This record gives sequence, C-alpha cells and structure tokens, in this order.
Amino acid sequence: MREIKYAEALREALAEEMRRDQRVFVYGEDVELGYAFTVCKGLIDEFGRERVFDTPICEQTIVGIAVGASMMGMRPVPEIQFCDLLPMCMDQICNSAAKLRYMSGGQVSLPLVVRSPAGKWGSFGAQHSQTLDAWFTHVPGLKVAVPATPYDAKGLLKTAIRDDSPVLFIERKLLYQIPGPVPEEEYLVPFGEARIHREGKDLTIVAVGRMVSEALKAAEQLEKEGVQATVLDPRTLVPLDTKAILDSVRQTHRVAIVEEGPKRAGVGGEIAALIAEEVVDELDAPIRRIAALDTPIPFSPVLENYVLPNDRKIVEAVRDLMSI
Amino acid sequence: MATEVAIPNLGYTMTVAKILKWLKSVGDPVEAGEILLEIETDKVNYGIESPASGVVKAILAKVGEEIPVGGLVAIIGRADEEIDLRLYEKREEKTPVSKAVQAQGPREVIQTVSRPKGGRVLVSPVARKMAQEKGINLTFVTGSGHSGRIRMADVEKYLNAAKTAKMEAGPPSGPLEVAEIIPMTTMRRAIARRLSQSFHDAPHFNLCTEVDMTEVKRFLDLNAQKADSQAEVKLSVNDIFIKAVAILLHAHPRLNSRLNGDQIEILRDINIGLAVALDDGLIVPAVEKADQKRLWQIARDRKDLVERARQGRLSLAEIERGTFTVSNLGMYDIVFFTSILNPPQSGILSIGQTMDRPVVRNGAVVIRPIVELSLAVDHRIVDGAVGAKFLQDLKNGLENPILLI
Repeated sequence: MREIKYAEALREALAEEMRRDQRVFVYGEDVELGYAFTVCKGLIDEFGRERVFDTPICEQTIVGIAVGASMMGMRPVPEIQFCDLLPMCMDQICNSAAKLRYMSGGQVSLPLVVRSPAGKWGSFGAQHSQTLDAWFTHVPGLKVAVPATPYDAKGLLKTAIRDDSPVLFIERKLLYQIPGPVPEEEYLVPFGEARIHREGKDLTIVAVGRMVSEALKAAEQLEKEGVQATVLDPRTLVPLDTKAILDSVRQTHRVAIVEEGPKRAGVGGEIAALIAEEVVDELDAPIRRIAALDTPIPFSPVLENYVLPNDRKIVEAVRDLMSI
Repeated sequence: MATEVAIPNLGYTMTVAKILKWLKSVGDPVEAGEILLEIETDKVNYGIESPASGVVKAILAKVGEEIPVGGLVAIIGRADEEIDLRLYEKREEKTPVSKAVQAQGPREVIQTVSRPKGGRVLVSPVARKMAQEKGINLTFVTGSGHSGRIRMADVEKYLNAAKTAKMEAGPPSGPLEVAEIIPMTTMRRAIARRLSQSFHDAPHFNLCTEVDMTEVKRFLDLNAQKADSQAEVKLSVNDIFIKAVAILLHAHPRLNSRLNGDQIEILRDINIGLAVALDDGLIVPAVEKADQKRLWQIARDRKDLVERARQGRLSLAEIERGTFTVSNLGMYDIVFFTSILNPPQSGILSIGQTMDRPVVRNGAVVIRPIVELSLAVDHRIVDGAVGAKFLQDLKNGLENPILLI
C-alpha cells in the first residue's frame, strides 16, 4: 500500500469531498498558499477562490461564517490555524454551532467542520502548543475527532464533512509530516469506532493523537520487560467507542490512559470515570492517567519535554501500575 | 423491574451454601420478607427472604446445589414482566456481585478483615470477584501487591495450590474395599477445615488436673430444688463449670482472647461455649456474658441453646460469639480426653466423668468423687504457667466454691 503524509491525506480528503459535493468549501488564514502546515496547499488551483479563500485574522468571524453558511445549506470546512486560537471562537462554536439545531427544533442544521492542529511543535510556547480536546468533549452538540494516523485522518475527515453535525476536527502538528499507509481507493472511517493498534493481555493503554505512537514505542519496551500491552486509539472522543474500551478492560484488567493535554479534567478523567462506573469489578489495579503537567507549556525545549508525556513516562507509569 | 435474589454472606468464614428447600415455585406470588428458600451453610440453616414483592419469575438453583456467596438463586418480578433468562445462564461470569449482594442486607465483610499491619485487607475488585465466585476466603490468600494487596494473580495462585494439594492427596489405594461412601456435609467439611487449621496453626499445650467434686455435688444437691423452682431447669454440672470458668476468666484474661496477626486481642465479653454433639457433627453455641449471669440464668440459657442446637435452629451469632469453650464427655464414660481449640479461641476445657475414687486426705484413704480436667491453650498466647494458674484457680474454686464469690 502506498504511504503518504498525514497532511497529504487530509488534503486528499478535502479535495475528494469538494469534488463530490459542490456545497463544501475551505477557508481560513493562509489557506490559499497552504501556509503553516500545508494541508490546504494547491486546493485553490483546482477549486478556485470561490471555494478556497483566505480570511483576515478573525477567528470568531471565521467560525461565525461557518455557522451562517451551514445554516443556509452549505458545508463549510474552516481552518483555525492553531487550536490555541479556538478559545477566541468559543461562543460561535459552543453557543451557536453546538446548539442552534436543537434550539430551532431541527429547523436548521449546521454541518460544519472546524479543523485545527493541537499539540507540541517544538518551542512554540505556551500559546501555540496546547491540546484542548477536553474543552470540546464537554460541549453537548459537538462531535470531536482526533486522528492519529494518515489513514484515520483521511477517513475521519471525509466522514466529518459528510456528517450533518458540527465537528471539531483536532489534528496534531507533529503528525503532519509523518507518513503512513493510505489506500488509493475511497474509504471512510466511521465515528465512534476505536482502533486497536496492538493487542496484549496484561493491560490496556488508551491513547489519543500523537500519544498513540508514544504508547506503541512504550509497548515495545514493555514487551522486553515481559509486559504485553494493548494499545487502543478511540479515534473520536465524541462519540466515544465505550464498548471497545470496556471490552478491552474486561480482558486485561488494567488500564492506563495517555493524552497530550493537561491531566486535570482531561479526556483521561472522563474515560477513567466511565471505566470505573461500568466495569470496576474487572479492575486489578487503579486506573492510571498519563498526561501533561498542569502547567503552561514552556518555551524551553528541555522544560517542554519535561512537561509533556512521552514513551519513557508511559513505561514508568506502567511498571508502577503492574506492581500495585 | 426484576429483582435478583442472591446468597447472602452470613458470616466471616462463609463461602458457599447448599440449597435445602424451595418454599416457592416459578409463578408463585411472593411478598417482600416472605421466606423463599432454605439454605444450609457450614454453621446454620437459614431462610432467605424475598427482597421484593411480586411473582417468582425464575429459579436458578436446584435443591442440593451449592452456590457461592453472592451467587444468584432466583429472580422476582412483575407478573407481566418478561425475563431474559439468557442473562443468567453463565452465572459465574455475569453475577453482578456488588448489586445483588447489597440487596441482601448486612454484608459481612471479607473487606474489613484485619491483617497483620492492623489495616484492611487490600483486594483488587476483580480479585474479590474471583474469590467470591470460587468460594475462597480471602484471609487465606497472600497478597503480592503493595501493602500486601491481593491481586488476581494471587487468587489464581491460591486456586492452583489448592488444586495441586488435592491432586497430591489422591484417593487412597490398596487392598482395602470400600463398604460405604458418605459424602461430607457442609458442616462436616467446615469442621474438618476449621479444626485442621486450628490444629495446624495453634500450638496446643495441654495441662491436666484432678478436682474433688465433693463440694460441687453438695451444692448441686442442696440447691437443685431452689434453683429449679426459679429456672424450671435442673442445674447440671456443666452450668457450674460454665459459671466458674467465666468468673475466673476475669482474672486470667489471656484465656479469653484471640490472636490477630501480631496482636493479642483480649475480648471484652466472656461468652462460654458448650460443645454439643449432633448426629453427624458438633456445634458450639455460647452462653453470652456468663460471668454476669446467675447460675439459674446460665442453666436456662444452656438448656435453650442445646435444644435449639439439636434442632438446627441456632443463629450464627450464637455460635460465633464464643470466647472460650467447655466440653464434657463424661456421659460417655470418658475419664479423660483432650480437645482441639475452637478457632479463634485461646482455651478449651475438657471435662471427664466424675467417678468415686480412693484418694488420700490427711494421711487416710477416703472415697471422693473425682473428675479429671484437661485444659488446652494456644501456646502463642498462653504459656504453661499462665494456663496452669488458671487451672489451679479453677480446681481450688470448684473444691472451695466460696473462693469464687
């Protein structure tokens, strides 16, 4: 199977969906040039400025346009250049996009997809390195997708664009240039279906986004130490494939959850609570969360690595977990 | 909404129960509180009450079947409700332990058994579930996690060890033919298990003495009439022993104690157990606070307990509250015997037959009613001299009852 980069996979998804459906259009800061992370590069050549266009720096307006356009029947796919800027559009996302279908009794729907990259790039500083997945999983009315591989990125984005609900499509900066197998033929990845990257009987590591590859690295190291780990990637946080997670816990009886966002009130807390509510009698040990420290992300590369989770920290946490 | 009926946990050592009798059938209406079925545990028979009113929708256990604590035995629901019995097919995997067992009232806890470190037993949820399903008492499992925490692997190890032990024991072979096979009852198995453990764990130290029962006999004869009219119960020599021992345990508290890991727990109450022989077993109900009761009260309690013991109508509390045991085989012409401690007690008194014997008093040979007593103590808690002093005080007290006042 051919291998293409995460960013390319996303670009293919956008192009294919724009060809398929005239109502789909892409816009945001620097999308015409495909600057920043290159995802939209070249799209304007095929689809023209009517469907691929730049905006000024105006995040709230960017999403506001999507709200209005989608209510009128279009299928907008705005890009917010850094997920750290999503707070600027929270009102449009949370109070309009997430709610107007409900509040109008279904008279309007808002089939929009807000794309935005999260996570570490490397010394981008506290305002450009955050992972804010948990902010959006907490808003009823939004779906949240967090692809970890090029395959999942393309398949999930196509599904997101075809979905009539508003979707937060949160990518990872450091994943853009990582290649992976992607079929030539068209395919979709459904929401609410987790992917198990690796099977192991001793524990389940639930990992999100860039932490999937960290978890896989950790799993290899742990195998040398005699611990077989399952690595489970939920792929979408809303809807969450609760069944897959609980079934895995029933098999392995131990869980660790890894995310790049800060630990407090993060995605791991929600998953841990679900596990404790539903299958506490299956647990052989407490649930462990591995996440970033509850602090702004430092600019200094040494401190940045100190704050963020990585494969080594996963290995240490799992060693401790296996001994309890 | 269907209600599940599970085997309740009736005691510290209970792990399974045998279904004795169903008082309701599928389709019968039932009120909350009505007895649904009778079960037999290692100690008592017990009637399980229905937790809800409605109709018996399903019966999940047959007479004679052994079900572990927490196991489901019946479903109660509305008459028109449909119950999917497939949910209950593989009971062992699907028993909702937490919910079902809670529905049955005071749940006595494998959780809060004290352990050497003075804290709770730490058990992982899945290990606890496994132990309940397999009928394992967690006090016998060693934990390999932090602070002695018991994990799944520890329970599995315990199970495998049990299997291996069984395999190694093996059926005896040889030239002997078996005339009859008697399957062990729940009680028999419990006795076997507990006394093996007691014999193995507690180093038994035996002390003996002879007691001249002249004064006791005189007391019994003189006071029998008076006591009788109050109690309507004839005073027996066992009542005297129970009272005498209870009074003396105040001065010898080590014999009214139990071992808990590193700690010797001196028990507050003095509840004297009396060993009662049953058809195929032995049960030891205890007279509560015997030191505080008048003799006729002890006699009345003793008579009631023995009667109910023989009818299988003792409550678990009446058996488990014992702090010291007294056993008398005199009626079988046994002159002298020793007993195995009734765990977790630290002392047991064995009373033989009182017989007229020639003894020497003031240089002359006289005939006196003599009884031989033996006292077994747990040498981890009670040393020879400690046990000896108690026995000596008992002998002196019985020979001169005024010393006991």
